[in-house]
Amino acid sequence: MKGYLTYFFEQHKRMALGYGAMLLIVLIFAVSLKTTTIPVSVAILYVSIFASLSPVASLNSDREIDELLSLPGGRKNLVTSQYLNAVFALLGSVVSAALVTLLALAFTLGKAHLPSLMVISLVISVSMIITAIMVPLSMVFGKKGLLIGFAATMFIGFQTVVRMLLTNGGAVLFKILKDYTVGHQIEGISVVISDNMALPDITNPVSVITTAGTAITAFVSSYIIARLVFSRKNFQVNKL
Amino acid sequence: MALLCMEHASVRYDRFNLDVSLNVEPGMITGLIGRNGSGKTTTFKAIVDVVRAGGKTEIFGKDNIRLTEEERSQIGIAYTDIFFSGEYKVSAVRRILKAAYKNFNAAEYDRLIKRFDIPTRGKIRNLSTGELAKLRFISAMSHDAKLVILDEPTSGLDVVARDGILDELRSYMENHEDAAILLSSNITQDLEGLTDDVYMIDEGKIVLHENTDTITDDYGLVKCTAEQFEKLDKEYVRGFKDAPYGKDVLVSQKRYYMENYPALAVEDGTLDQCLIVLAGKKEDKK
Repeated sequence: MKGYLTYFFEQHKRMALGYGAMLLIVLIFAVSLKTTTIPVSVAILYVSIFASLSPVASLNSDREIDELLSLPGGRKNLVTSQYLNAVFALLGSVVSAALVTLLALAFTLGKAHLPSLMVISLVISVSMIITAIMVPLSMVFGKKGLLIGFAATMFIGFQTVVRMLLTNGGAVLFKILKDYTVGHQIEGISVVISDNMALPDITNPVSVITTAGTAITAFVSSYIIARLVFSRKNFQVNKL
Repeated sequence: MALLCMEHASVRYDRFNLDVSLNVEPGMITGLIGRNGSGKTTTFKAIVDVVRAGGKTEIFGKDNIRLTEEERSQIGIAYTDIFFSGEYKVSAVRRILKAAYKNFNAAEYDRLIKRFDIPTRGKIRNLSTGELAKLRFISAMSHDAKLVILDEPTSGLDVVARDGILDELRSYMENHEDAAILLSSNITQDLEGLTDDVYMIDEGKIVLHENTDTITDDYGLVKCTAEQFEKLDKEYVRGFKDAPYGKDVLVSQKRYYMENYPALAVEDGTLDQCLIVLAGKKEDKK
């Protein structure tokens, strides 16, 4: 066990250090500017992307699984590793879900910077679409399902972007970019974007809880799909 | 009691089936030879349950999947294709081994690192092929293991480094009389001067098991034409393959053929010849 924990520490310490360093930089940036809008937006974007990626990052590659199996702890190492990965994946999902909620609240309250919020919304929406479509397909059809899911995701993603650009969202985006480049803050526009991007009604607590729940489901699902895609051995511990 | 006993240890893949029986006795260095893809690495992985095998595999007299962590730490193992991530620093290997192996011998590890001139700064991925091979070897040899398993330990090494590895293996056996080493190598000359016992594996099955001295002393390669081969006594023939002049015949009693067929050329036996004839025979059929 001690051997595995040392292995795990060596495996993740650089990622943890990098993660911490980046957050520290963002915080210093926030303090030095004495404002929270832009840095908080950047921090939310950064953390949400990394949190959603954490399940993938914490996976063991097939080679690492073999290495874990050959260390004295053998399969115990792998089981411990699975538990730890699951905890990290869960943390990632919870953080992501919390951020979605935070994002939605910030959106409504107009406290965060709009262009950043749009990017975050897009990232999270695409992530949810991917998991919602690809997970069941891959579960049922395996690799073929992944391909079908990928094609469907691309189609829906493309439709979403086109819809956004063709409807009022395109005009709003253009206005934001235009105002942003000349240095103006835009007020009261979030509601328009919210309508166009079909985000939930954040003033309603039920809707907030639903959003958080959806996010948790989406990211736990993404964890499962990531394991399917990147390391089939993780699912075959007893068959190796 | 054999330190390692495999009886019909079997692993099934789509295009390859392993079915191996072998024993590794204490105080002995046992070699496993075979062509690329013959099943050597799979055998080694099956021994320590990296790949789960059917049949029987016992280490220290106990089913390999029931070994305790302490018993497993008595096994030193180095694979060609499994090692710590290239992103790890070389210095991390020492920390992990120290934490993982109860008997980790830090002084021995440091001595070997110094002897083989392994840079301890920087990442594993920056090591050369030779340095990485040596580091894998050191990792397996630095915790006073009772059973050492080395998959191609001399692969990718220059002749000086190879000699150093072979020296260390001999020295290890002198200092650990109850230990045993099982190793594979494509460089069969290394095994001839080192091993006590040799197994040959081909297409997942053991096709030859002999004492190494028996192979070098008693085995021979009889070179003959097709007509001479027809008349040859086949009692000690272990295999044959086509040659430009007729047949190369591997025999287990070369003196018998030297005395009874003085007209035939008989070469001394080597592991290479065994491999070429026994594995090459199937190659000819293909």
